[in-house]
Amino acid sequence: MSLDAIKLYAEAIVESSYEKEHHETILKLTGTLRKKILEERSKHV
Amino acid sequence: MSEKIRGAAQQIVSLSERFDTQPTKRQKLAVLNAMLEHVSAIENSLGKKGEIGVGAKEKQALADELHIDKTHLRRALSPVGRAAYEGNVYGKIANLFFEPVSRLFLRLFPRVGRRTERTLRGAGLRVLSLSYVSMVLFACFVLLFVGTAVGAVLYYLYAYLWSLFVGVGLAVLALSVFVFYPLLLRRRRRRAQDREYPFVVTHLAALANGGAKQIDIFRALAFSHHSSYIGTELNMIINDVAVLGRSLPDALRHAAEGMSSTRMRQFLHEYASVVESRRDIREFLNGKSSDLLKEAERKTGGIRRYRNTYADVRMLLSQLRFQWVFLVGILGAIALLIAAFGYLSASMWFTPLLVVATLVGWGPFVMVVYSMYRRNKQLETHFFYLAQELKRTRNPTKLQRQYGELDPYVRKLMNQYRVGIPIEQTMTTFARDTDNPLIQSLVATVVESKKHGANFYDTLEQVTTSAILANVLKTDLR
Repeated sequence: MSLDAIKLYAEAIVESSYEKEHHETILKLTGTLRKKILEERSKHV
Repeated sequence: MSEKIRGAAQQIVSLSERFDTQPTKRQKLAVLNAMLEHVSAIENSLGKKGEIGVGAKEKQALADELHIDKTHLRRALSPVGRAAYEGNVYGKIANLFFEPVSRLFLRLFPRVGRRTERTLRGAGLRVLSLSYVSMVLFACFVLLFVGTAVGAVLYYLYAYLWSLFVGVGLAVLALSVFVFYPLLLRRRRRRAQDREYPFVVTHLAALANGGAKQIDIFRALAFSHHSSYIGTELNMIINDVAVLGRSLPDALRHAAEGMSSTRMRQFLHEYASVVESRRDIREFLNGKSSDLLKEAERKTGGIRRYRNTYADVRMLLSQLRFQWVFLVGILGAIALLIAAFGYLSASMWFTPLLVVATLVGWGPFVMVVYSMYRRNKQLETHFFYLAQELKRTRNPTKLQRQYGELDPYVRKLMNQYRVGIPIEQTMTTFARDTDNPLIQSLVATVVESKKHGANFYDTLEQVTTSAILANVLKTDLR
């Protein structure tokens, strides 16, 4: 279910934010997270 | 920065936990929207704008889904509002080196400066005369040296004097291109404006009859298909009134100065004096348009008819999209050509086979273009009747006629209107679905004039009648 995925990705961003070189990782995670949210959103429109 | 990102991500986690407890669809959507806002916040703090990366292929697929031609898509995606004009890079570089010299040149020869300015405006080029002179000088200077250097390498065995000839020749060539190109553009633009003049006036009359007033008439006209010929002047009028606060007659006279077509220039002056003397603008435009249409009617036929068909075909080609049948035709033609040249070059079947190969190669393409042409004409004819019936009923749900090719779109229009979508929006969707540039531009014009207080149904009928009449006169299909 994409909602679980959303939660997982958001938690991964929280985890990555503690790391020193997090810029690239977070950028990638955010991109995927946005896609997952949009997927979920399209089900409810 | 990390705290900000962490905070936003934690918000998303808590929102995702709350998601399932939301009772309605609307509330669930609100939660997802809030999540998206937090995602944008994260991206912003990372220095990236909140945009979704879509590949070129995906973008093309999405554009195809919209069934809209490229020009309209570009217009739809362009940011709303006024963007500041950015000078071109070449002009900036040229000014960097030659601005003082150009300024001196224009001071010494003010008549040349005025003529350059008029020509550039008439040609629709957005360059200042000062920058243009700098560009000419810069191009000549660079080509003189580059040409001489290249000449020195080429003619080092004969004489160095030859290299100077190459440099001077190139510089003279650049100078003549810079002198003649705007003149050529201006001439082409003047012809197009003269040709379109009666139809622009008819369109203006239609907008005025629909209830648009003063500057709003020009605002609506800027959305029509005429804007490609007189776009610069229309923008000038709108900007003069809306940004610089000039009166409409002053703005019209200012735009008329740079107009390359003498008839249009006169028309703008007449329009300005009608506005100033507070005469009825509708009466003026209606009288003018009926005179001009009679004149256009006399002039139709002969070579003009073919030129208009050519313009139609050019428009169709811009609408054309790749189809597999083209590839099949081309492959078939190649196979036949191979057979003809490889095995039957000495046979009596050689020439007929070449003819067949040409037919097979071009056939699908011509057939598709022709069917598109027929479809467009049918759609436009039915749209004309639709506009008339809409004016009569003033309600899309009361439409009763059959509209042939247009029927599925009309049904969608009725259904959308029935569920409460406003008429402007339903008509815009309708125009987009038909994939017909004329209908799209007509609806865009009407939606724009509705924003400024014109009656939607009246304007639609007036504008459509004027455009269809123009088409009938142009193609001589009476």
